[in-house]
Amino acid sequence: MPAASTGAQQASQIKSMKNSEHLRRRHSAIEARDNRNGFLFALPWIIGFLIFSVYPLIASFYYSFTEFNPITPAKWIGLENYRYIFQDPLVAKSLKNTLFIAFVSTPLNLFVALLLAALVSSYFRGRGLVRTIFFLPSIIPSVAATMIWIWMFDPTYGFINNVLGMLGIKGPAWLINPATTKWALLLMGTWCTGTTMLICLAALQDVPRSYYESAEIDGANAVQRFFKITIPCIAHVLVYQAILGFIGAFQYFNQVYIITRASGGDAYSGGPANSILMYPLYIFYNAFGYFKMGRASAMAYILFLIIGILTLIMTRVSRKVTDYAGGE
Amino acid sequence: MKKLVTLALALAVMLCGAVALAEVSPDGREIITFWNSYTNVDEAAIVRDVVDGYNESQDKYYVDMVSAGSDIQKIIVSIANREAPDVYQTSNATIISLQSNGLLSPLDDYAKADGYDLTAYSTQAIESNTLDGQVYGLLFGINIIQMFYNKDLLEQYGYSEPPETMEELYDMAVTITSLDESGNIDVLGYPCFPFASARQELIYAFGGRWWAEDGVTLTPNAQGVIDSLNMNVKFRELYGINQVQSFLATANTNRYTEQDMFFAGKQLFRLDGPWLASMIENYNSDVNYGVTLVPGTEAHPEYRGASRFETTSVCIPVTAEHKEGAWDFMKYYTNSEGTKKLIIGLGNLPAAKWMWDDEEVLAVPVFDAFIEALRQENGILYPKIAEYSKYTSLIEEHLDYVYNGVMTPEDAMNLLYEQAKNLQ
Repeated sequence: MPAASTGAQQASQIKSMKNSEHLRRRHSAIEARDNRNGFLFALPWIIGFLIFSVYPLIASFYYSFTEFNPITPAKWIGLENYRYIFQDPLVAKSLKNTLFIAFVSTPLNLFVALLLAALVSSYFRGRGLVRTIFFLPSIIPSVAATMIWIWMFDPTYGFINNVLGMLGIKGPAWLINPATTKWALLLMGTWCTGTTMLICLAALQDVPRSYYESAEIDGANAVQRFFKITIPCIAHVLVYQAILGFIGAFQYFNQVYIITRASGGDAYSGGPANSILMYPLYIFYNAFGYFKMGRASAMAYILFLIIGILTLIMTRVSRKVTDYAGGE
Repeated sequence: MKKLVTLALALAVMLCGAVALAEVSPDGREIITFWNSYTNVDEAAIVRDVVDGYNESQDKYYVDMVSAGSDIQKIIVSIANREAPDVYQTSNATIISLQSNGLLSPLDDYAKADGYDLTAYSTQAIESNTLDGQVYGLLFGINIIQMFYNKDLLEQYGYSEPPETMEELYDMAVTITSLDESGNIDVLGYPCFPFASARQELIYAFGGRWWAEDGVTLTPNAQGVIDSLNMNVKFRELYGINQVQSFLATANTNRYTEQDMFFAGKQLFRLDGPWLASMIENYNSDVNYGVTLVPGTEAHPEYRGASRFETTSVCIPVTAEHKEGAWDFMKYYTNSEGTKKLIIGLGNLPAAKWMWDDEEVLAVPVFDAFIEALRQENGILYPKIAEYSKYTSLIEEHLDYVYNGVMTPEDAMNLLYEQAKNLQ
């Protein structure tokens, strides 16, 4: 190879390298500028997140080891709040009530939502109207819905007991008997499953028709098709809804707050025999009723821990179910 | 840059001006903020009228009134944010609860400096707003409970007088309670509703107390409590626990509405406050009623008339900014001709003793009977323990076990005693 040609090639290579270096620098400058701009655009959210989420999270952890009210400085008391919580009969009671709601209402609501979704996924006249009717309760504010249900549960004039009466059943005093209050809440909960129903409906419509057709050719009946095809194909959606349901159940507040207020009892009531004293409601009473803000913070951290563990378990289950269903 | 600085300065001046404006009224008077609990339009109008009367009489202070409702959370947040009102109206129970956490200003020094005579008010009323020897609330209204009875029902069954003992009351209740064709209770004789009265006056009628006289020791398994609950359970078992509970649930849903069981003639006895009379009038109920003292027992007739003793008070939050003005307004609000307007308009019993003999006050329906009970000064004051609210919640829980037949009175009250003994 001639020396001149080699020199030209080297010069060209050097020029090319310089160009690429220049381009690289330019790209990295653009990238840096984009990053900076992106960061600036995200900054309001980041500031909000730090102030309204991260700071309270850290502060409440510190406060959980203190005794304080809104105007007096926090006084360090070590593990005293946690010790008190484990001895407080109302903490155990509220946790038991909340676990009942979480473990009974979540599968029940999911079952009802799936049933309704299956019902409205098939074609029939007026399907749109029926879907709308099933969905409507979900958009009614929980306060208004609860007030309506209080009237429906009235043992003498209420709709529920009147219907039971037509069937020859004497209905209970739903909201005054500790044995029936939680069941009344469950019944209320199933009325508001419209959103879950919609998500289940979307999942059902995503199941390929060809699976059903093949199964039909192989002689599978409707029940077999439902359990062998439908359930595995939508399992990941069901598990995700179950996680949301559990988290929602552990934050159960509005309905019991309204019912206990409307019953005209004591200001810090948990319903008959504290049968609907939910854990979040009891946190609220501790903070804003008994002025035990440190204790309320400790209770909130225990709730955080419980939800965290349950979510972890559910996520593991979800991963297994998703793998089984062949999804991502 | 210069423009920016000028703009910032202008804004700062405007802000300062706005703050300064908020501190004084247009005619230069110091503004006193006053939060009351009356969100009902008619009640708020009565209070407004009294506040206007004060403002007209003043050249130093101007009261700015807000109907803030009774949620305690609002006042806590406002105190924490240094935005508390100068005067806050609430119950004596809330005053004790707030001050147990150091959130109020004591009033004794203002009274002393002013030469203001606190004995103008009912002794028990002042005591119920006192913590550790310091007064934290001035009060205009007292709430006590006595017994309303349906005259027509009593006469229909041959009774000419209301009962004076719980034993007589029980016999009348059993005679007059009636069922409809479905076996549901149509008329309830025994006064196990409202629940708060069953928890308090029905217990006090037997000499039962939830706490000892020291106001600190808790006594849920006292004999009087057990005796009262035994009679209550006996009545429930006679008619069926579910039947009684169903009636009570409906009564509770319709309480103080047009369909209230007492207004509808379906409740023989009703332990309630003087406001029930004005409600009966407002709902145009034709129930023919009378009022008498809550009965005692045959063995202890001296328990007759025993009732909870609550007050509607005004206090000064510890972070209030205009405490002198607040004190000045509180005196007017609780002890003046304006107070009389409040008392008559709102149906509260007067705390200032001079009104107990005032003809206009005594002309309010049922006030004569209730003021007679007030003169006895034998109301039951709430204990001054920090966790009183929690104690109440535990009491209600264990009463529900008894009412629903889950536990016997003895077992439930012994369990309550165990659970409550660690309360602070």
